Amino acid sequence: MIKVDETAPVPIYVQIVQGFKREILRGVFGPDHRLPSIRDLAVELKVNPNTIAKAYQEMETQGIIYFKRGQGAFVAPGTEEERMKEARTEIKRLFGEILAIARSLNLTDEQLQSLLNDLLAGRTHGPKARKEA
Amino acid sequence: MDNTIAFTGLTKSFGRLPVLRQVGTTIGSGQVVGLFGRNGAGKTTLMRILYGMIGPDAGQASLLGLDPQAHPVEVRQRVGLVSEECHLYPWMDANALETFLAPLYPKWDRELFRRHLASMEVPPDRRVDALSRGTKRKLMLSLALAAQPEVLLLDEPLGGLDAVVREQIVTTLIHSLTDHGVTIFLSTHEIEQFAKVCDRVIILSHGGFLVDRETAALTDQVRRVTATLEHPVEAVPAHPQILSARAHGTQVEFVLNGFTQETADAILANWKVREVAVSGLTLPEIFIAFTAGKEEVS
Amino acid sequence: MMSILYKEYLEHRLFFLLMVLTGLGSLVIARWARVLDNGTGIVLLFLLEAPILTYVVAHQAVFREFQQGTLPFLAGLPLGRSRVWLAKALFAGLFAAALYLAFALLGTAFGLTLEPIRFDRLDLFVFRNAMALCGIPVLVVAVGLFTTLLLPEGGALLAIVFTATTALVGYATHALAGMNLLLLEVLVVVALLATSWYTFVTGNLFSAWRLALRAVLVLAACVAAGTLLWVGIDTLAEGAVRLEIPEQLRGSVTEDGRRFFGQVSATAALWDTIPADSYQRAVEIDLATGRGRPVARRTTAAGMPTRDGRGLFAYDPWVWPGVAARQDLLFLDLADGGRERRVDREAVPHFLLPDDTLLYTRFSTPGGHSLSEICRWSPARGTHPLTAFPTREFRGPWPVRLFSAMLLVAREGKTPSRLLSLADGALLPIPLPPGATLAAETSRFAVFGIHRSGRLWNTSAGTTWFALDASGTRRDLPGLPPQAELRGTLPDGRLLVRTESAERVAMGRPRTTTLSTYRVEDGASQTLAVFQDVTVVTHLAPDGGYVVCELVAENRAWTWLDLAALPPAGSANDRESGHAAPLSGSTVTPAKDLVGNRPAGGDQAATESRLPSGGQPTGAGQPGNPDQPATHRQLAPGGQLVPGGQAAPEPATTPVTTPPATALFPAPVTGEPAPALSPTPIRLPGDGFRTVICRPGHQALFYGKVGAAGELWEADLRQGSTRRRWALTF
Repeated sequence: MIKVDETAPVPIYVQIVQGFKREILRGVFGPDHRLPSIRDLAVELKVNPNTIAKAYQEMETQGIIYFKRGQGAFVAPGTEEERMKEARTEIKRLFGEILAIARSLNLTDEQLQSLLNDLLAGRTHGPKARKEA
Repeated sequence: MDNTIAFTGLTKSFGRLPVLRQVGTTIGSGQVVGLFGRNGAGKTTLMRILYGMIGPDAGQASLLGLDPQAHPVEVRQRVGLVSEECHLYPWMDANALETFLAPLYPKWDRELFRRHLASMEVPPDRRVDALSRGTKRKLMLSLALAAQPEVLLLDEPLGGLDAVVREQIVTTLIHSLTDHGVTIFLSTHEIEQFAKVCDRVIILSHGGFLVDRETAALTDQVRRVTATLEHPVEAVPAHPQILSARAHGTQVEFVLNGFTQETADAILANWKVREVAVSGLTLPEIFIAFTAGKEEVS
Repeated sequence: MMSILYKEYLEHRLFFLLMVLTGLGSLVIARWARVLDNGTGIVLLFLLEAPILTYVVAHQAVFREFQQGTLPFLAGLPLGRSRVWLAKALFAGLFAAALYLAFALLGTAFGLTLEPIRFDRLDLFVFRNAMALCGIPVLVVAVGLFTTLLLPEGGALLAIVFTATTALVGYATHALAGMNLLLLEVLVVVALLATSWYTFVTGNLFSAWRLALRAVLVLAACVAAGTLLWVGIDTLAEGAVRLEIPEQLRGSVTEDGRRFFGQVSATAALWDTIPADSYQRAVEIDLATGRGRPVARRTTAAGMPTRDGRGLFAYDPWVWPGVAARQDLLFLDLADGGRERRVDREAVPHFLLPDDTLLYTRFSTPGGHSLSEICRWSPARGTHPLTAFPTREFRGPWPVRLFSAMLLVAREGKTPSRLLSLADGALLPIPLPPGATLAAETSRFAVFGIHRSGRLWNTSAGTTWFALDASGTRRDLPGLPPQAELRGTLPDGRLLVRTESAERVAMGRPRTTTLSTYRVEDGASQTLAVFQDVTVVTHLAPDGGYVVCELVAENRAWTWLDLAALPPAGSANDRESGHAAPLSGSTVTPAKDLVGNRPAGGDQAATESRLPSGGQPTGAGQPGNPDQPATHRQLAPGGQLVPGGQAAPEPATTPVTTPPATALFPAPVTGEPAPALSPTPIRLPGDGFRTVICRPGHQALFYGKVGAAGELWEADLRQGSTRRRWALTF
């Protein structure tokens, strides 16, 4: 589900957009799936409805959702490739951040590689691995 | 943007102590604006001026187009104020308070009042002086909301309350935003509580508004630059956009207000840089960056 | 606003109950202790408990909000602060009314009735009905509403300092002297309420000190405004006084007979700052034209003018009912536009010496007992004390021209009278018996009488007479009967004597009144006229040429006796030359009281201030006898002047019958001496003439009310004609 962390140095509405993107990517929200109303989401997340509105606006601009008059917001259908491409870009970016952190901790490339291998290996163990990722 | 709340040039001194120096801004309908400032910065004074309880030495304030000192009755019927201290009659209970207040507000909604009391778990027949601090605050909020105000002024609404109560209050505020479209202007010195609720942030320091920006923009535009240098340095050179800076051996770190790559590069050009990282700050960190090192006098 | 009232009611209803119970409890205890009577009950309930409890409630109005911390809440309501204050003030008032009503019912249940209370002679205004029931609660509520804003203790101190300063200033400058108490209370209450309202509406309710300071400053401003208002009313009232045409001229005439100074009744045309609606105002009347004008301030009462009429001694009495009363003695310099000089405080003038020096008594109460101090005063030299004595010991002084002395008569019967020198107050070595009072003076003798007191019209009362000559030698006067009253001195040294019979008819009028003369040197006497069934008041002309007799019965008649037509005294022992020694009436009594009025009984101050007419001290001529009250006057039928009781309106004949059996004079047994003169009536219109001013040369002036006008008529007695001179205008 969408979660918002007020302590994170990322604007709330950006977090919401990212949250939705993640869920859509994972298939939780399929194409033409109706998004929760601004009001309901505001109450659930304890977030200013204006912020929710702004997030929805941003998502519409990015083409992730579309509005149907009087009925709310819906997930826009898009090609799997586009999604995958976006996902890859996102993962790459995330890898980049991890790399930066590792470097700042003075981890060598070898140490990093072995960490990655461990994680990849743990993948076969299912949900536990997923949690660690 | 309309002028639901608007004030310009507000100045107030107590004796020789200047508390507000020509502050001004405009808040439109439906906005939620957080006024942040350290203890003693003057937040309560500003709230009182907006509510017409005291008069400014200079400047004008207008709520819903009305001067609160010239039209106190109408302003207070449409604007609710919840202060940090409980000023209710200690011997009254919620029922008695409703009997006392309802005739004064033309839009008083008894049903709404009961619903708020129920949802925030406020006992309607217990005396005020037998209530905990949190319950008192919730009662005050219920009373303010029952009058269906168009504007809410909240002075430290979550100060000194436990997590459960805070949650209840925030939920109630969100509801009033979605259901009634109130404009909220709240003041606090605990910033993280309201990161999710305020869409605009004003930082009050030394009588002036240091910051008056949308929350998202603030988070966007204030960045920390961390750099590892070839050679150790003593200090970071001053720059109007640097809010705070630190130098420790070969590590420098500075916080930029209104971050752009060019600005960062310009500053980094002072040294030989090995590595650079840019990161965002949490709102509390932003707040500290703006106000740290400047003592407020209370 | 109803919300606030209801809330106040909820907050205070228990308190109200407790207060009523307190009242009840105190009454029960008082009754059980058997000290409950009307006085203690009213004091307990209405002057002690109710005001205190009312004050507490009024004081709590804002103060309690401050203590509870609800002042910001109250100030933040959508209700103007003005209405909040009004609601609280109204509640305080209603509470007070309810409490007083409850107490009144309680009191009635316990048998109290609401009468004003007197404690011995202390009739303090707070003990009167209206004050206790309305004045005090209103004042208390106003004070409470003011002090409720003095939130910090320092604020209360400030207010106390201010009030104390104002009170001290008021006391020291006598600013409130004699002020209308109702007006004063109204001003104070308005000032307090206005201050309270204004401070609450405009003050900073978050700063207790600023609020208190503002309250005190606003009160100071109100006091200043109130003072200005009072001064304004006072000034306006000064000029807006209506003078009434008097029935008599009560006062003194200057020596030249041109001007009269006295009092007339005046009523305030406006609301006045002094407590009385009407008062006596000093006036000057030009006897030639009849134009009168007020002199001095409206609260100043006239005393006596100086010989030359250029100065006037006057009183400044002021009274605060039930609080204090005082009388200052003033000298008005009429030549200098009436400029006032204070002679002394708490003083009473007595008479003027030949050089216009005033002899007066000032009173003080060192150690609680009244002390009289007789002093001289002149404009040039100020006060010079002569002698002092406890007031309860002596009466007087009266001037004794013969010895240049003044006479003091002891109040207690056994102490001798005293003669004190007018120069330095020293006791003269002339012994006087106890009770001796001066009755008359001739150029060679001072005649004294010792009166044996009896009841009014009691036959056992009588006077023993004796005379002293200039060397102090005493001689008895056997020929002067005990019932005699000395009514003046003729220029040749004879005394005018009036003797009333012991037998009385209606209204205390004597059956017979005889006028006669008596010569001290040899005791010779001569009957002038005898009157029946009428009270006779004599007015002797300054040159001794005639006597005007005022005959008072059911109506009033004026007649006169021509002394110039008197045959010489018939006694064989007459050693006098028959010449009339010129009456040097200006030695002791320069400004003569030529106005022959009978002073009203009880008007002691006026009596003591009036100058004795030539040689005749007032009051002393009738030792011990109270002055006769004025009798009714009615218009005589047909306008004739008829002595009461007489049937025949024959003016020229002697209305005489035989004198009563009690012999008046040690006349020869052979026969009664026939009266030497016959009274001639004086024709005046109507019955309203009360005042006569005798002039030399058989001219007399009469003043009285004819209809609504006060008119002066002059009479040429020899010719028997009268004509109107003027009507009095102010």
